[in-house]
Amino acid sequence: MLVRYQPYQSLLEDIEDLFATSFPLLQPFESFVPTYGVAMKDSGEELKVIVELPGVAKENVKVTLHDNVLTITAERKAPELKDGEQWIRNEISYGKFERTVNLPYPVVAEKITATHENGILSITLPKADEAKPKQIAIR
Amino acid sequence: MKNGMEKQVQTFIPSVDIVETKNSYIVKLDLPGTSKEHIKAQLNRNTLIVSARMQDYLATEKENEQPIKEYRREFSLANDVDLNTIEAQYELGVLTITLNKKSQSLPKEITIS
Repeated sequence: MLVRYQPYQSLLEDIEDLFATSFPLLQPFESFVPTYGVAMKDSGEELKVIVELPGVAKENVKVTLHDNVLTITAERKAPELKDGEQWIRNEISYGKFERTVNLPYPVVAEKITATHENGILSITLPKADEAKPKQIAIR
Repeated sequence: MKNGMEKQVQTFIPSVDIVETKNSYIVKLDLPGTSKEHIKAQLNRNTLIVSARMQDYLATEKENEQPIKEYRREFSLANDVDLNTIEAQYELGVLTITLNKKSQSLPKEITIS
């Protein structure tokens, strides 16, 4: 996974800490869910959505479509260290991840396919007829 | 793509986890979107260089020959690593390298007679 530059991450964490200590009953920032970048490609007939999800098992990925909004949730399980094992370095982040994508046009929900290979989730969404490019005959 | 308009290859530094166990160091690198054939792990004295080329999974089949991303990371290995028994495995976009410790550098229990 590529780590994105997150200039405000520590500030957000500070705010979160401040809220947690000042208002223990009121924790609006508690459930920050990390998000990943997606790539989208339009190939005329279909739309492709691609997400990098290294180390995530297939059964821990869920893709849902509702009201033309695609939601991808995934969980990367953190390794459990056994007795006598210790971290030397930990740059990979673990836990839950969620990403929603507004689709630019209607798709055929029944024909959506998804593959998860080598840590890449690839979702193919065939466009609805009204969204497909049309050739206009010139008379 | 052949007429001098080759896509530029971008190099990325993959994230790494390292766990030390009693007998080994387990190194994990996130290398999504590559394959076993495209990963290279080289040992140069005691430096381990891991590089991988990633195909452009957004390109169409026809354009799919140009890699767009390259991962690269170097590791200096400690003296206690046995350079002859390094193992690597690629699964779910994660490369796991097992660096075994030399047997003479493992902690030994000494029996008191």
